[in-house]
Amino acid sequence: MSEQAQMDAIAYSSKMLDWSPLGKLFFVICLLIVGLLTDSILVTLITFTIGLILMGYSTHFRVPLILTLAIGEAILIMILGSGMISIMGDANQPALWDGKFLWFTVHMTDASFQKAWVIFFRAIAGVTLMLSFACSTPIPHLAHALRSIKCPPEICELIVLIYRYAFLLLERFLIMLDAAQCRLGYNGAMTAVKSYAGAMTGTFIFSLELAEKSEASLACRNYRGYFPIYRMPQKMGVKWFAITIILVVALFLIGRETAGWIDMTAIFAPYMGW
Amino acid sequence: MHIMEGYLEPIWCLVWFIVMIPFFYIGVVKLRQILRDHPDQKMIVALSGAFIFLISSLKLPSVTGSSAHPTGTGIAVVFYGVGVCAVLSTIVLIFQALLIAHGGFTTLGANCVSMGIIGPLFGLIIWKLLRKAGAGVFVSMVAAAAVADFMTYVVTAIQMTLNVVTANNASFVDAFVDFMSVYAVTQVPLAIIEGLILGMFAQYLSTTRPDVFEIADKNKINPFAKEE
Repeated sequence: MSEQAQMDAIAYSSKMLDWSPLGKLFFVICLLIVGLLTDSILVTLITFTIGLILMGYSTHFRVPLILTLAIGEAILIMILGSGMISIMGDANQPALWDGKFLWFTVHMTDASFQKAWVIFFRAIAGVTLMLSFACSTPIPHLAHALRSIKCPPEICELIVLIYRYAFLLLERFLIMLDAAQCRLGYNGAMTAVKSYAGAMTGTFIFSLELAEKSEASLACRNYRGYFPIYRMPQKMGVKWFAITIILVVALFLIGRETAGWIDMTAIFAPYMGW
Repeated sequence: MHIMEGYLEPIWCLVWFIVMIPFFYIGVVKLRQILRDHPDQKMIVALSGAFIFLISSLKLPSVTGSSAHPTGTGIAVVFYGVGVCAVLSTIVLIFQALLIAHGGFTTLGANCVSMGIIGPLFGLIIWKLLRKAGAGVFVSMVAAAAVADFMTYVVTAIQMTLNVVTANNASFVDAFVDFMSVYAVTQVPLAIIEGLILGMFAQYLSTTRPDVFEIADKNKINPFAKEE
């Protein structure tokens, strides 16, 4: 099963499935923003913990391998991204590490090193928060939530349609790639490129035919641009709004007071000889 | 290769969202018009979005031994123009952030500007120029898709450079050279491969479904231009 299909299955079996999708989205976005507004590593650690707890609760505290892999892959990208930030310090400030590394001009300063760690923790917290939302909210619920805040209906409809077709295309595309492999379709770079192009065209033409058929079948079922949800999740009440705002204000104040409490340069100094 | 969640300073998150909004708005207006005038196009538009999602989820081997993602926006921009491409890319970017932790919500504006607006805009310009010069579908699409892919990464490198200049007071030129050189290792070969794949794809499609390309020739480069 593809990553997307697995996430879909996880979302439908979540303990938080009935929670308000709009409430969850508001909560996650507010926590992401407050993480950006402070330079405190402590705040990012708190939001990371909140994300992790929500993700654990949503998946009955059996975090699936797919989520672990997604976090692992994201961490790898974050290490590279934060590493780049750390080596591009202010040239007017004294350097912890100055010189050339591969083809990069390295000028790592105390501030750039600290900033890189803040970004690293911020990014990890962001990933856990986003995944906690993803593993508890199927895309049709998200589209429904967007519709309730007056998002253009065409966009909401497209979200659901793209989501549905993405699965169909992916399934067909993987079959075609397997078929290409069976007839040595990856034997040489040019053959591989041709095989990918053939599989894409086949998938696209198949999906065009499928779209024509599904349009007719949807019209037969009186489709008016909206796929009904039979088990409606809760609406966003005042409770969601209040909890989120209180938490955001508290985190912002904590962030203001604790910026610089965790000094990553001091932690690494004995090991790096700074 | 999208900018990850939490990477950009708040000011840049805001700036890129502001840049994205007019294009997104014009895309929604154009989408509404397409769906109102040609209701039969709804499924094809949705398929184009699903196709961007599929292609940008596809991992291709690169010369470094790592894997990277093509953007897949070359086809959508040629069919529907920059505005609609921005809307489709935004939806795809939300899916990617949620389903595979690729990109993020606060960086959505920046990612949409690079992958859904500026990159595809350059691709569309190349497509129009080459088609006007009498080039075939294959050559035009190879160039358009490769340029759209490469320009997406050039814009991403600029966005990351501006961010690091603001955050660390780093030198713009040094930072841009560093970011661009990292991308160039994977993206130059990847852009060429994506161009070749989409070129062949367009060639096959133009022979099997020439009707699909009729829409492509009616598109304008300027997303804000009024339809005739």
